[in-house]
Order: sequence, then structure tokens, then C-alpha cells
Amino acid sequence: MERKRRGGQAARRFNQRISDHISGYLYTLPFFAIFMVFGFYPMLYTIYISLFKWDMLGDRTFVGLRNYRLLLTDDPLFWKSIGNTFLIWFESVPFQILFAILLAVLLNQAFIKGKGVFRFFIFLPNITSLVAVSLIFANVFGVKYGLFNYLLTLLGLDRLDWAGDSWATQLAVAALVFWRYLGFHMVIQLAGLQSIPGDLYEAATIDGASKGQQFFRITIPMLTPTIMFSTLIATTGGLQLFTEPFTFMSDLSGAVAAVNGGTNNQVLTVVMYLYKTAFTDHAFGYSSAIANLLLIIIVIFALFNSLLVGKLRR
Amino acid sequence: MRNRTGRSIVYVLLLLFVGFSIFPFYWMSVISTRTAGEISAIPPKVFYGSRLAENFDKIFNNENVDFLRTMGNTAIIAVSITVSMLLLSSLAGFAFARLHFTGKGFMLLFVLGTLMIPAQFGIIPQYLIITKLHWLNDYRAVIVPGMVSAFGVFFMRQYIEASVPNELVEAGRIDGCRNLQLYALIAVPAIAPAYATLGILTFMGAWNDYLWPSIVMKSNEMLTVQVALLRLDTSSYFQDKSLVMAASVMATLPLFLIFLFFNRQFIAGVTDGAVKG
Amino acid sequence: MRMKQPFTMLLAAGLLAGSLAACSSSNDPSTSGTSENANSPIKLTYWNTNGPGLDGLIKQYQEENKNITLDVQIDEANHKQNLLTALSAGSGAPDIVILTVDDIPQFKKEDYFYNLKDFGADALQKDYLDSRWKQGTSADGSFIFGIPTDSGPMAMMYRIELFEQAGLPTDRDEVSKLVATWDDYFKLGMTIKEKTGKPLTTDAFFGAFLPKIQQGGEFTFFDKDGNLTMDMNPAVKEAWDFSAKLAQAGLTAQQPDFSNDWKVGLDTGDFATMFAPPWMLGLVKQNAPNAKGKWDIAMMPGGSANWGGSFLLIPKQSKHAKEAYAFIKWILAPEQQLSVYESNGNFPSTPGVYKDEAFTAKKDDFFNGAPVGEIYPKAAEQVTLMDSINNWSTITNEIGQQLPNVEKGADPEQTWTELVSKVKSTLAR
Repeated sequence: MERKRRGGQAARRFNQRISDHISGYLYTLPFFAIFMVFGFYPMLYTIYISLFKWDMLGDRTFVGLRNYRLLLTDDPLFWKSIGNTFLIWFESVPFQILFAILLAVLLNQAFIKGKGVFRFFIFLPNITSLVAVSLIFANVFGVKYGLFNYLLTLLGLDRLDWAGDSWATQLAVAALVFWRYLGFHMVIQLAGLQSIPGDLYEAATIDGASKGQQFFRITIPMLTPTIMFSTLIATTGGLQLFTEPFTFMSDLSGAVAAVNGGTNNQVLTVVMYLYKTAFTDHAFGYSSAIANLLLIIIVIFALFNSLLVGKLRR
Repeated sequence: MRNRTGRSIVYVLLLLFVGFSIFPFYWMSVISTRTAGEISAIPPKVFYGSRLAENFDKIFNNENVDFLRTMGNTAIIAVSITVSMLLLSSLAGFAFARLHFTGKGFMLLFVLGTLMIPAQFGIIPQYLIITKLHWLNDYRAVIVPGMVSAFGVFFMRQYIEASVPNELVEAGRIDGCRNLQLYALIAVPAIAPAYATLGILTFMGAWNDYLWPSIVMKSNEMLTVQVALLRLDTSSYFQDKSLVMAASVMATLPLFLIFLFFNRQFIAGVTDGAVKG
Repeated sequence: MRMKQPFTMLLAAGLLAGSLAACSSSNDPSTSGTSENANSPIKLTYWNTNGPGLDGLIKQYQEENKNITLDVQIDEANHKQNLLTALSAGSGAPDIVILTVDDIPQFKKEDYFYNLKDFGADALQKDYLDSRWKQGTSADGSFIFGIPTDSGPMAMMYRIELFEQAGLPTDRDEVSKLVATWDDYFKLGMTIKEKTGKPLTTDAFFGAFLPKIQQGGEFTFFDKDGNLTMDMNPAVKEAWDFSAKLAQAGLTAQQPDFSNDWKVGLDTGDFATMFAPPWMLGLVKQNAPNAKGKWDIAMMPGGSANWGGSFLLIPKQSKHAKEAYAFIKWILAPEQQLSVYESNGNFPSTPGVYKDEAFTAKKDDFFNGAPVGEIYPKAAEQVTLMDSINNWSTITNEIGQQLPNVEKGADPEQTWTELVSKVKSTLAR
């Protein structure tokens, strides 16, 4: 009898394994199918094109790895665009995540009245169209007639050169990114907070743990995966930054500044550079090579990120 | 006493962020009531002007664009994308979090990897595929590529990992539930707040998408609203920005309302939780 | 748990509704009607941008030609990119497409467009300004890519009160004489700066380099075979040096055209002059409504030059090239250009109409009553042939990027050397 039950259990476990495999592949199939068509094939195409000199309309000339060699050894602007991308990332993302956690935790407090109202307003920047947003920011950061500089002159201070001064322009773009995505990350953190089972806090309260202790012993450890998720999204998004600086610069100082990311290329991100080489210079093979190098950089960054998560978890 | 000061500080802090967030939005609505020439006036015009009616008239009685139809198009696209995203992401997320199958770890890593491919990466090959499928000027050209994303799958996987205990799934199995039942009866109810979050994010993203729709949806009756914004005024070489602003406000209104409506769903989990002050 | 229930139900309802929406969307009649039977009208797709002001004429054309429907699709932001994509992919391109003077050089690829000569377009050449016509053809004129839409002969806007304050004449004929040459223009700038403290022009690129290089001849950056000559051609260096001289003397306001600061500057009068083609006038009115009567218009130094305007082309992918050509020929004919001028102010590229009474009588109240109907035809006659061969926008983009650095104090010679080597390596990619 004992043997029979164990045999039944084994059979059930075996059946379970089979059905888990079927379900597992089936449930994830839509994602992989769509990715293969709209992600993987374009990737192969881009890798192939990066081996050519091609203006998109003329003949393709096979150049082997020349585009990569030029990029790595003979193109200071490429390196500058990488530097800019990281600088803008550094000026916006860490603060964004930090404040998003702070706001989420505050809004998760039971005593707060009108939670919905606060969350609604803080999320607003994320639902507005970028066309409008960049126009507003160009207004705020206008060099001669911007609101910010107007306030500075009212205070008797010197104007800042938002269009020409490297760090000022980067800061303006970082402010735009911070402003636009703060609510987004706050919402993700809120979802994370809500996934923490309430009885953990109940038990802790019964054990006499203070709110501060609860925060550091329960909230932060339980929230770590969500924080890492936010960081990953912000990082991959940040390294692909394009529309925000592009439309902002275009409203601030015109099309030439938008294509070049400012007179000193100070907010030229990697993707903006990719765009410029493709659509202003018509160097499409070269542009594809940039895309591939960017992908490699992002992968390295993400691996670093997941390594960090592994460390923190242990 | 100490508690009360603490709470006041929290409120002040929140209000500060609210101000920071809505100020540009407020200004956007101000500009939509003014003329293009007043946009960058110094000292700045911070109160509402009188041109809103005229701007709205230009939007809704436009010769180039049937603005309401473009909103309808965008709604069809955004709803379809959101629904399929919620369904497919949570299914895949559930599989990654709670089912055991060979190659799962590698596949999950792969999903993560696809997060990192820049959107501008493959416009031309993607366009090639759409033309091969004869999907130009067809809702499918925008809906199908957006039906499920690495972000959605990963988000759902993280959430299910945290909020659907393994024990519950095992218990369900002992009760004889099949995998799809486990998903529908155990996972789906537990992840309602995640649905609200991902749903709103997806809907906003689809509604505000510009680049891809502008490439595959060219004919006037198939435009999405973000593309239509820039087609309103064709008479002069440069755009009437106040008109664009007014149209942006109009285009944002549905998102506003949807968010307002689903806003409550976000806090469903919070009120259930035991975070009591 | 109680609060979650309605939401889950809602979600289920949404799933159902959404799947219906997705199904019905694929059956939408407007998307499936691609095939045409013999009786149905021919549909011409036309990719347009904002500006040429042809909307009214398009309607008229459809009324007069019941067998033609025009599907006009406007995409301001990604027009050029989308065209590149569609041409390169070999499908999805329209029957008619507009391209600006800045963009057309890079699109002059014979494999991708119809030679309009094959439809008899060479017979039209005599009706159009030579300088504009040549921009739409191959270097030797044998391949006609496009027919010119409106034109942009430049004149000079000047701020009346600044000229008064500087003790200069404010009469437009006298101002025109005052700036006969570019040297005169520079001297004028020094006087105005000394007397009023205001800079002469908007910036070194739009305010000096662009107009000057467009007076530099048919081959400036490239020779007729498309080889780079910018580093050998004295006209290019001369334009660069002049722009640098203005910048170093502090005669540029550093408020580049189309920037936010420029718009306000137009209103408040932050610079004394600006080079403006006719299409610019509408833009000034829109952005600087308070400046009515404060600007006037005179001739610019060194003759004139063309800034702006577009072409209509027919991509090879078109299956209705004949009908497309008939439309282009009609809508860009002198009579039609004249009617667009009357309704929208777009300046015709067909000099035959310049003598028309309705044309010459036009004055502009906003610009102190300047007789624009006399000034601009005169400017148009002085426009010479200009470079339209190769990567024009790649090079002007680079120059527009570098000149602000000279304005901020960078050494012009060193910047020039760097610029040339940058252009060379960019073109080699």
C-alpha cells in the first residue's frame, strides 16, 4: 500500500513535469514568436549591414570590420556620445530611483489622506506627450528669455548658458528625464510595496519593532527585486536616451543643435549619434555598427547590474 | 506631537513634488489658450489667455485631419495592445515564476537581453517585414509588435515571484488544478494591482507612441493621435505651437480620465495591506 | 480581497472587448480596399510637409479631375527618414513626394525616381527660375528629378528704430545702397554696435555663412562629379572667414534662427538685421506679433541668394507615374503658383508672373508697408546657381554646429581645419 501511494506520487510528479514543460513553453511562446520576427531578425540584419559602406540608396560596398575599427580608433565623437550618455544617466537615474522609493513609501503610509491625488499628479508628467513637454522645457531653459534665467536675473544672478555650456545643457536634459520618469518609477515601486505580504508587518508590530526597524528589516529587503527592476529599466532606457534631448534641443536652439546635441555635442547621446550618422550623413553601415556597439555596452551594463543583485541578495 | 510634525513634513514634501510635477503641465494648458507669439514672452504669461476656443475649433474642424477619428484609431490600438500585453505577459510571467521547465533560466536571461535592444535599432528591417505582410496602413502593423514586451514579462514575473506563494500553488496542485487553472484562480486574483500598473503603463506607452506609427500608418484615416498632432496646421512652413499644445491637451485628456478611473485600483493592495500608521 | 474582485471582472470584460476590437480592426473596410477596378478613380498618394500651401489647389484639382483622388499625407518630423526607409525597402513609397532644397541633393539617385524628362518636363524649364530648376536636376541637367515649388529669394529685414538710433538712414532704398557689398554690411554692423550696443545679425550661421555661401556659385562644397572641394574652393573659405569676422567683432546676437530666443528677439529687436525669404515673413508675424511696423525690408548685400523651397518628385515605385506627373505639372504651373502667392504668400518659382499687376502691387503692412511685390522679384532675378550636388546638409550641419564655438571665442583657423577633416572622415564612412 505504501509502495503504491509512492508510485502514484511519482507518476503524478512525472505528469506534472510533462505538463509544466508543455505549459511553460506554450505560455512563453507568444513573446518569443513576436521577438523573433520584430527583434531578432532586425538584429541580424543590423549586424549584416554594419559590414558595409552604404548610403541606403546607392550600392553597398563590403568593408568588413572597417566601420568598427573607425568607431573604436578614429571617432572621438563616438566616445564623447558614450560619455554624455553616462553623464546624463548619472545625473538623473540614481536620484530618480531614490526619490521614487521615498515617494512610494510615503504614499504607502496609512495616515496619508488623498493618496490617489498625490499619485495622480506625480504620475502626470509621464502621460503627457513629449512634443509638449520638450517645448515647455525649452521655454524654461531658454538662454536669453527662459523662465529659469529670468528668475536668476530677478535675483541679481548671471544667466546660465543652457544651450552652450556643457554641464548646464546636460543638467537641463537630466532634469527633463528626472521629471518625466519619476512618477513611472514611483508607480513601479508602489506595485513592489504592495506585493509585500501585510502579515510581515503585523507580526513585526506584535514583536514590538519600530517603524524604522520595519523599514530597514522588511521593506528594503523585500523591495530589493523591484528596485533592481527599476534600475534595470532606467538604465537600459537611459542608455537608449534619444527623444528627450533631441526634441528639447530642437525647441531650444533649432534643428542643427538637435542633430548635433548642442554646439559642443554636449548632449549628443549614443542613439542621437546613431541617428545623425544614419539620417544626416547617410552612413547607414556605420550607423548600424554604432547600434551593435551600443547593444554590447548595454549588455555589459546589465550583466554588471545582475551581478550586483546577486551580491546584494547573498 | 512628534508624530504630528513628522506628518506635516511628509505632506509638505509631497506637495513640493506635486508642484514640481504639475507646473510644466499647467503651463502647457496656459499656452494652449494663447497665440504662438505669446509662448516665450518675458515676463512670462502665466495666466490663461482667450484663444482656447479658436484653437479647439481649428482642431475639431480641421481640413487635413479628422481628429476624433485619430483618437478612435489610437484607442483601438492602445486597448488591443494593453489587453494582449496583460494576458500574454502574465501568462509568461507565471510560467517563469512558478512552472519548472528545461531552459527556463536561459530563456529568462534572453528576455532580459531583449530589453536592451534600442528601439531605433531595427526600423528598416521591421518596416520590410510589415510591407511583406501587407500590413501598411493596417492596425495590425502597430498592434502585433506591441502585443507583449520583455518589460511586461519581466515585470509580471517579478510580481508573481513576490506575491504568489509557492505553497499556494502546490496546494492548488494537490487539489487537482491544472496549470491554466492555477494561473486563472490563484495567480490572476493575487496580481490585480500589477495588472493595474502594467495596464496603465502599457496603455500610456501605446497612446503616446510616435515613431513607429508615423512610419507604418500613413493614410489620413489610419493616423494615430500623436502623428495627427503635427498634421493640424499645414499652411505655413513652421508650426503653430499653441495649436500643437491645445491638441496635446486634447490628446492627453483620455489618458487623464483613464488614469483617474483606474487610480483607485492601484491602492487596492495598499488598503488591504497592514501598513497602519 | 473584496476590492480586487470588481477589478478582476472588469479585466475579464476588457479582455473580451479588446479581443473583439482587435478582430474588427482587421476587417476594417478602409484598410482592405487596395485593389482597384477599372471604373474606380485612381488614387495618388502624396507625401507632403507643412508649408507649400497647396491644399486649396489640391481640392480644386480633384474637383476638376473626377478620376483622381489624392491621398495627401503629411509628416513633418520624419518625412525624410520615412522616405529613405520606403525607398530602401522597395515598397511603401508614395506616387508623389515633396523634398526641400536641403534634402534633395542626397536623394538624387536615378534608380529611385522617374526622370521627368521622359514625360516632357524639359519643355517646362523656360517657365522656371534657372537657379531653382537646376537644383532639381542632375549636374549635367539630363535627369530631371523634380519640379520646383515656391522659392526663397532672400532680402534683408532691418529694425527701423535701431537704424534711427545709430543715425543711419531708414529709407529702404538708401538702406539697400548702404549694404551693397558684404564689406559695407560689416561696417554697418560696427556702426550700429558702437551707437546702440546691439548686434548686427542673429548668428554667424544663418546671418552670414548660409547667405554668403549660396552666392558662391554652382559648385562650392563639391565639383560636378561629386568630389569634395570645400577645402580648395576660395568661395567657401571666404564665407567662413566673413562669418568668423562678424562673430569675433561681436556682431552676432547668438540667437540662431528658429530657436526660442530668436523668436523673442524678433519681437524685442535684439538684432538690427536678418536675412529673410518671403516664407520667413509669415513666420515673423506669427512669432513676433508685437513687432508690427518695427521691421522694414531692403535688399541684401552682394545680390541675393535662395533659401528654401521644395520640389515634387515621383518615386520609381509609383504605378501611376503618368497621372502623378499630370498633377505636378498642373499644380506647379505659373497660374497656380500665382494663386498660392495670393492666398498664402508663397513666392513663385516662375518669373513669368512677377510682372502681373496683382503681384507687383503687394505691400506688407506688418513690415512698415514694404512693397514686397517689387522687392522679392528683384531679389529673385539676382539669385545665382548654387550647389545642389551631394551631401549639402551633412556639410552645412557641421558648419552650423562649429560657428557658435567661434562666436564663443574658439580660434577660427583651427576650427576650420578641424571642420574640414571632420567632414572628410564623415564622408568616408
